[in-house]
Amino acid sequence: MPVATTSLEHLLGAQHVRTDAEALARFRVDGRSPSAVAEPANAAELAEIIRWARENKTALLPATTGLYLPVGNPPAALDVAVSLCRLNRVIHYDPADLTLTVEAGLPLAEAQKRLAEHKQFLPADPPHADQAALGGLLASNASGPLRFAFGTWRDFVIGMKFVTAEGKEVKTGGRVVKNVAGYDLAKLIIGSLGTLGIITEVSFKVFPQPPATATFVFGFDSIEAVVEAARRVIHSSWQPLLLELLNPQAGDLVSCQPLSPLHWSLVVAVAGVEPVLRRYQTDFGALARELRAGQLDILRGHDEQFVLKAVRERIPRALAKNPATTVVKAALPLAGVGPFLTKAQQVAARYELPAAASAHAGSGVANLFLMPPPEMADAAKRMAQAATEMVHAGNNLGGRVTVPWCPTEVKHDVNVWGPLRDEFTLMQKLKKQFDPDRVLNPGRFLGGL
Amino acid sequence: MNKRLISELHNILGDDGVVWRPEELLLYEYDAMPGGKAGRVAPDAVVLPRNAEQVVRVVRLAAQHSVPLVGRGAGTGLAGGALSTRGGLCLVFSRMKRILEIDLPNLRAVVEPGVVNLDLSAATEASGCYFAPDPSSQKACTIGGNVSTNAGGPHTLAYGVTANHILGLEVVLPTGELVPVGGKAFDTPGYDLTGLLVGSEGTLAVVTKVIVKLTRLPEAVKTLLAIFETVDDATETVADLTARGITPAACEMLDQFTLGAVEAFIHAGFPLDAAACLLIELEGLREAVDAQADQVEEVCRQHRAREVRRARDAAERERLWAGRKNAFGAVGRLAPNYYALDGVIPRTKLPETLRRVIEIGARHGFQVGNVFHAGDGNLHPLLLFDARDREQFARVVQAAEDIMRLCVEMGGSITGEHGVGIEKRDLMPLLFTDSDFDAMQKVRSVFNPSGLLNPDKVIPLSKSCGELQVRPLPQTAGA
Repeated sequence: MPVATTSLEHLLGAQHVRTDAEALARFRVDGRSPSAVAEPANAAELAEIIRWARENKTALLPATTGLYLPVGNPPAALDVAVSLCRLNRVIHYDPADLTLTVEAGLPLAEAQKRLAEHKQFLPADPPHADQAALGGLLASNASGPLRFAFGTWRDFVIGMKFVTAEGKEVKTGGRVVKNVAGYDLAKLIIGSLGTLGIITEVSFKVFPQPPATATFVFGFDSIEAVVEAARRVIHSSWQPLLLELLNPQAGDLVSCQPLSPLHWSLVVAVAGVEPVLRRYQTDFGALARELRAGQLDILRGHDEQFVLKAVRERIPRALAKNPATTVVKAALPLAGVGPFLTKAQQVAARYELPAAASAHAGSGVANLFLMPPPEMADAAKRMAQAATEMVHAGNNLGGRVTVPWCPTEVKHDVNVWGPLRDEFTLMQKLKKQFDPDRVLNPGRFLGGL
Repeated sequence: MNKRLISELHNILGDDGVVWRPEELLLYEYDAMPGGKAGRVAPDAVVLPRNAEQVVRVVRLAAQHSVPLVGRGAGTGLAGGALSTRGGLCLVFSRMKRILEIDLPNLRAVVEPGVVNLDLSAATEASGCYFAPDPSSQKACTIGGNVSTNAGGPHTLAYGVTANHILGLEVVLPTGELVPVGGKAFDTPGYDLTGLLVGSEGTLAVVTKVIVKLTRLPEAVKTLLAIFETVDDATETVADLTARGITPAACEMLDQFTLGAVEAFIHAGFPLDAAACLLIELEGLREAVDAQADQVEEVCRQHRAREVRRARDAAERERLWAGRKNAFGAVGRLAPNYYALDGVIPRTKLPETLRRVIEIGARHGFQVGNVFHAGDGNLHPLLLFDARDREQFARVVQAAEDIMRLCVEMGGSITGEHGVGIEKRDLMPLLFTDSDFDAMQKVRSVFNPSGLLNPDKVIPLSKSCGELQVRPLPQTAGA
């Protein structure tokens, strides 16, 4: 249903209420386009838009770059997209205190560029790290391989501002690295997919870049061997930055040497001064011999960055290669990764779906990529059924399985957020308190929140 | 409190599970928040549940009778979070102290809330793991209390605070519903209720089970004691270490006054004539720790450290840490009362802030001792006073407020790890607006709509809505 945008234009200026095809296409979700894209310049304008939307029973789609919009249920309603692209300033950066405050529309890569001037960085390497903006990455709780050493956003966000569905600006936390004053609302907002409030500003504790890094790529000929290698690394005194496991098909997907379709690969990046890196070289050499790795490569410099980027970007690569790809994500107790991948591959094979498999092995997060051949007519149905079986398999292992990336047709037959549990009632009540009129991203999150 | 309620509590908990005689309740008028006897309110009864089912029944009973309910671990909290401001029931978890599961393959443990922090690490150490959050009271404080306050400790510098180590909880809502949140795995779909509940100071739910992350013990540990002739040299060293991106596992500062108090008590081997010491710990692979120790020593020397001592063995290291972790107790021997403050500032502001903290103390006539988590910018000024002297007590409260205002002015916060409780409640408007309180109140009304769970904490009373249907609050001590 088209929405009267005149009052929005009055609020923001006509040039910041876009109705051109390109803008609308950018914020298209599961086949639905907004009828306008509003681009507020600041939190006060955003608050006005939200108040306007609430008065007019208009559903808002909060977004930054739009790269993560495929994640979630199809919207229950979608009238106007709110793009935070103009909120892109660095508000405060104190290199000597290792703290950074930025607006939510700032691309992660811009923040990294700024931090790199002082040899610092944000330890976040989610898919689309080179393009995506911070607001959307936080709202969808996007993470990447570095989560093994640094955790996820919840572990290094120290403060936040957001605008509520009442159009009020709320602050939580601050700019210091330790702070327990008041409820930690940032934890609530991170990963809430914009359903409780729209993030406008975020403060981080940032980290010094390590003096040097090296990346070791082990090749094994079986899942048992690669899982054992990962287990050995997790249960050691070694302190890697990341620990990524890829099956041969995932190696093919990432497709850069020395990752290959011939092996199960374990990618381990480490950091430190040269004596530390030499120590890892010795230790990992011994580990490779003991576990009979078919290969062990050590990457430094450009090659290393190239491979790490390819590994990090495996989801966008899969989607670029085959837009029909369905990505199943299982968050498991650590020891569940091997059994889940084994089971999930069997399920995929039963549905004759080519599957790549990978995991942030040190964090218990496994990803299955179902990549149907173009000629498979009932691919969506098969993927939905396979994904549903994987949801059960993950549950049985004590994990929680979701389907973050898939074609819209698949969403009709699978619950992309997995089954609801007892705690859902509390989530519903929170949604009702914070957004009783369901203005913010209605229907897209767990259980239609 | 009516006799029927007491008898119903006896039915649930047995005769030895309910404490209700006035003389036995006196203890529960206190936690570690300073202040005299005046205005203290004891709970009407203390209950000692043995399991979650008993907790559920007690919570239901409290709801039926509309009596307030306050959870309590070891009572080591410094902000009054476990005090009963309106009587009612106090749920003490000293009998729920079982470690339910140590799951080594998944590096998790499941514990009851009454498990003492250090006991969990002791139970897992032989397997090469431990529970990383290490509040100075870790020999006594409970994991339930740590969860409630989102406790910190010296090693949070490298490992993060309690919230970074909790993956799931089992909680009882004020209605008596038992709800598991989170789990052993990361990334629970939906809102991060675990993250929200940790640090909510018992105002949202009663915790009956905690799923924690275990951390691998480091291969090597080195402890350095850097000795300085001036406080500024020490604080500038900390700021410089931070700026250079050197992150020790812990970086603690003790000033001359505290060093003297600690030496008299613990004999840790601290110098008595130094203006300040930094206790710096490095952990990791041997090669990494060696390199870091050299770097740290170099920075200390550039800032005129008189001496940088390296602990030769585990015994010396433990003595130094015993000195640090018992510092509050050591200072406590010097006066009838001490007030341990808890403020946070950006680390670049350390030298200036500490100078002004000492000035504020002097202006109000107090000697200030400083022993704190310097690497995090988390200050703990200690003010010595005598609570029996009401005028002096009023002055110490004023000095504390001035120091908190200073922390806020510096861009910091009024609490880094001790919590808001009653102590800081009325200072919260220094940081937050009505809209911010409104959002917090929305959260509270979801979990704790009747307000009977730990009333009068965290949110200033004028900012929290929903009048409690209980008897009026007596005059409190005001600390």
